[in-house]
Amino acid sequence: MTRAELRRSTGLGLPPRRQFRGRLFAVGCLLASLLPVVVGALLLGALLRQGAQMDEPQALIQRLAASGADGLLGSVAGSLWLVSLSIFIAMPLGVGAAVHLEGPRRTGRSLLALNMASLAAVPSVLYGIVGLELFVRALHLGHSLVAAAMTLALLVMPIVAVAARAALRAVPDELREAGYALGATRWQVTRQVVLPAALPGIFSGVILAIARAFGEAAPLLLVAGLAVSSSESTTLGDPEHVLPLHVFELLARPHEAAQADAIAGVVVLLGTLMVLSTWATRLRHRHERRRDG
Amino acid sequence: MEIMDPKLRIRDLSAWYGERQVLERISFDVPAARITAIIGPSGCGKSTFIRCINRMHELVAEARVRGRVELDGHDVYSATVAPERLRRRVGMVFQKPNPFPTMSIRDNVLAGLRLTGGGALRGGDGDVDGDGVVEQALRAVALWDEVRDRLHRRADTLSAGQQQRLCIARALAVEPEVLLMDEPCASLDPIATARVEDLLGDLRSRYTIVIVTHNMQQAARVSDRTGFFLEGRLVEFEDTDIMFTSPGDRRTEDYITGRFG
Repeated sequence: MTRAELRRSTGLGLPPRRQFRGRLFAVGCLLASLLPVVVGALLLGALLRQGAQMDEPQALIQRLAASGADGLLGSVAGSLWLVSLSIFIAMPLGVGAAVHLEGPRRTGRSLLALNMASLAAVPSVLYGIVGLELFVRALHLGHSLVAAAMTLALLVMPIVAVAARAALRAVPDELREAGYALGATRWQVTRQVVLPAALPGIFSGVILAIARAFGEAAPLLLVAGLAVSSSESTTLGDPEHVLPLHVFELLARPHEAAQADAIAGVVVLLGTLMVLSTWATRLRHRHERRRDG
Repeated sequence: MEIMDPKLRIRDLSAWYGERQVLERISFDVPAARITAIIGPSGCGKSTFIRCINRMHELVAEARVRGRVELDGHDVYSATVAPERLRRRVGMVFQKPNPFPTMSIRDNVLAGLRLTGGGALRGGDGDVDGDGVVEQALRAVALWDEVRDRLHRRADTLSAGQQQRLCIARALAVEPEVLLMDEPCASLDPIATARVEDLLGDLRSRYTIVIVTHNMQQAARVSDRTGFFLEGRLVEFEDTDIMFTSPGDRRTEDYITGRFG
């Protein structure tokens, strides 16, 4: 059937799928959603190809099993520890900032909100410089794990805050009114009504923050002082032994064996991120299901 | 109309949202242990009016109030009155049922007591006392038999009519003296509406109730006194029987006979 015939036969115009612009839009959407999949596949493909070119894959596995795994596992544990510390610092700060920004109007608040939103887009190296100058040098924390955790906390705090603001705004005003009408104060309504209702949204922001902190290398390079190799081990741990820096350091070595270890590191990094996000998404879904009853 | 010892005495109450005046010099007395209905077309200021009584109006940005609202002879806008304390004595039920979705049915009933500090619950936050409060409040709204087996289910598993009665129970659990109801049946079906109206009959002897409604039959059925608002002014305040049989004002008559609104 030609288009003209189709139009005549129904008298109601063309079905939406036949409309050119609608189809163009659908194809555009499909391409956009395929893009991350393609990029991910290319990345993995490159990894696999490089891994396959290794002289002795067997030897790599053996070495990893023997000693290399120590460095790898150690850096995974170091990463988890560092990220936990930084989230522990960033979450109360981010949620607190969001509560303030969503509170009653005060002068200068919109400026503050703009500032916060822009911070989320600042390149991470700049946070490294801030961390180096503020925590390492001005506050004399040295190239320590604490300095690294605080720097990462600064980096991810805006992510938490932006997500928490959106979550707080999505809580219906009727719930706030219900709380006030029962004689609750602003603080009581915020803590017992608004925050619990906003929790899934806040949590999704925290997940994003965790993922970001986990894969971040640039600010840690500066704060951990890798360039001068003078990082200070404390009882809390050592900022140098985290996964992204482990990979970075291995890649910088000229030996092929180190390259292989680096690839193993990247695989573990990607795998951990995927496990983390899967776990977090499932947690969030469970929360939402419960909400739907 | 002047009456002896009114529960609420409203004098020259005006209210604004920014520059827009929504209430103009409202004055009348609300008798104790009676149901007072406020009727009027949309946008006449009736919701704003009851929100001025428990000082919810001032929570809106740029909202202003002038005039007096006296509860048992004390000005609720005096500098020594904490709005939170006032709202525990003057409860409120909203147009749309708004139970706390993250809480169980039981916790919703206890929400007012818990939100304002567990100490308000007699004998601390003991479960024994809590159970008593929950049962009493749910019985008062005739919801007990329907939900007694699922007190720990989430409140949003209830139907809209049940949710609204739960909200009334939640307001009653704080033991207020006045209950403000802002079109409490607006989002309910006729059966649920009838149940809430029955409930009002049961509650009238113990609480002073002010109910805003756009449903004139409802006002005629449940209330003792009726006030008719039009464009932010009180046109008439009368015994409900008189109001609906021989209104004193031409505009009231036009409104209740359905000529406008």
